[in-house]
Amino acid sequence: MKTLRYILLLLLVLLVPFGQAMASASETDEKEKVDVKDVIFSHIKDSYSWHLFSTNKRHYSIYLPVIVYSKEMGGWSAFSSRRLEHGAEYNGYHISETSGKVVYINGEGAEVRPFDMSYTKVAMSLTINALLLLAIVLCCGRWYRKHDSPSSKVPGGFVGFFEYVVTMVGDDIIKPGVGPEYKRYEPYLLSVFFFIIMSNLLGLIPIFPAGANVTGNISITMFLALCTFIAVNVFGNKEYWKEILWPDVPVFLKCPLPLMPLIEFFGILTKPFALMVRLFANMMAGHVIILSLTCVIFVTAPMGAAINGSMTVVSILFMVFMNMMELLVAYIQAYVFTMLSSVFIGMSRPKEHIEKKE
Amino acid sequence: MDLLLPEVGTLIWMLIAVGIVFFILIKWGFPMITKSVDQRKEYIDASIEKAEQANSRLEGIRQECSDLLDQAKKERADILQDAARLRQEILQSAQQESKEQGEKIIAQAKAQIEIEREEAIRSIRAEIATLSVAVAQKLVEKELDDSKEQKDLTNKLIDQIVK
Repeated sequence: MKTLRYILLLLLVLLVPFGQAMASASETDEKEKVDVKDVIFSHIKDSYSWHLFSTNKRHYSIYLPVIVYSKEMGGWSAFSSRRLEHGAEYNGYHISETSGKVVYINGEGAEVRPFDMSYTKVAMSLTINALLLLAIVLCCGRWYRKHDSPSSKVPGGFVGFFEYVVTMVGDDIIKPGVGPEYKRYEPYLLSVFFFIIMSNLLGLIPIFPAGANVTGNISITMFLALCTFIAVNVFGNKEYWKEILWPDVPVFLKCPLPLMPLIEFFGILTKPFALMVRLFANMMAGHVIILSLTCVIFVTAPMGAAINGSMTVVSILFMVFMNMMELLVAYIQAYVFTMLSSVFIGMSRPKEHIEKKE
Repeated sequence: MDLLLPEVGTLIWMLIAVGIVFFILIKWGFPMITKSVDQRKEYIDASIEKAEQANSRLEGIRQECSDLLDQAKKERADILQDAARLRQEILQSAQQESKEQGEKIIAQAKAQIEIEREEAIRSIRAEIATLSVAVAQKLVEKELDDSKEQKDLTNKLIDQIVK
């Protein structure tokens, strides 16, 4: 308790001059006000460059390639996003003020989006995450290849930890969810789990190779949900389809007007949709909260040293708390996604009903 | 609002990067780990079963051992009992025999003594007779007047000597 008090005091002492400096800085150029919304959304949304850090003089970013296709503009074109910096135009393309995406002006003078498959921040980030995951799994796999007799020792260190998590996910989530045929789906579900938790955790680290909002991007969660959708509906057995198209309910509910089949059919779509939205909303909200708390420091800078200093302390305390919470959420969301995916897969492979009628 | 709209470009990159990575992971990555873990699990289960079997066998051997020991103990007790009985018997018979022997010896000795006594008496009697004859001779030599008195004296003398 005493130590905590000292830490707080130290924070306060350190932060007051910082706040004062901020305050004086903001007094000198009043026009550079902190646009909280812009800060937050520029982080949450995808972007064509990856901002690393800024000094007083300039911003340092990685400019990622823009790859667009448009018939009107003469097919494919690929160039560095540096050429579009600060609203500049290149090859007829520029970054729209309103949407933040690459657009061109068509014949009628309207902004039109080309087919855009730029290697954006999220794309790069997901590549890094995927490769990191691949490296981790293959490194662990190498250990097993080296020690492939079953009488060899149990792995220790990182491989042991990884094995622990893998068996935990396998035994606690996948096995009860999928049921007897779980071996077939286990690798896929494990991949999903580890990709999500990796992306979630890396999203919490604010410096370069990590820190992008990957799982808080709806395209990513949509892809993952689609994978589960395919796993459920492509590998679903006859009984599963029978339960959707001709469920075991009184005939009037399905014969003249296919009420139940319709509801069941919507179930097919809502399940992956819920998966998609849950992960996206949770991760995005976490990023928004942490960024907002960070912004509190800079928003209160013009209000004087006392308010700014105290608000800084409060904000940092909350940020520490929220980051802890986000660590938990990172795990929970990966857990929930995998668990629901396994349950949906398990439901898609029901056993033949034994006639229950007496 | 565009936050909620999926981006085709991102989806394509996701499909490429994550698709390839997932393919590798599903094909080689995770099965290797789970297979190893399963193999180890089976190995451990088999080992436990083996250990249990060995244990039960050991238990059987131990039971056998204790049975054997019990039997040996019983046999030893029997043998000891037999030995004690035998000793008792031998002792008894020896005693009996020695007693009989002793009795026999005593009887023999008694008979011998009797015979010898009789012999002695006889010889004494003869001696006495001789003696008395001698005494009588002496007396006769001295005077043979009162024969009655003499006879009484003689008898008295004999009795005295014999006694």
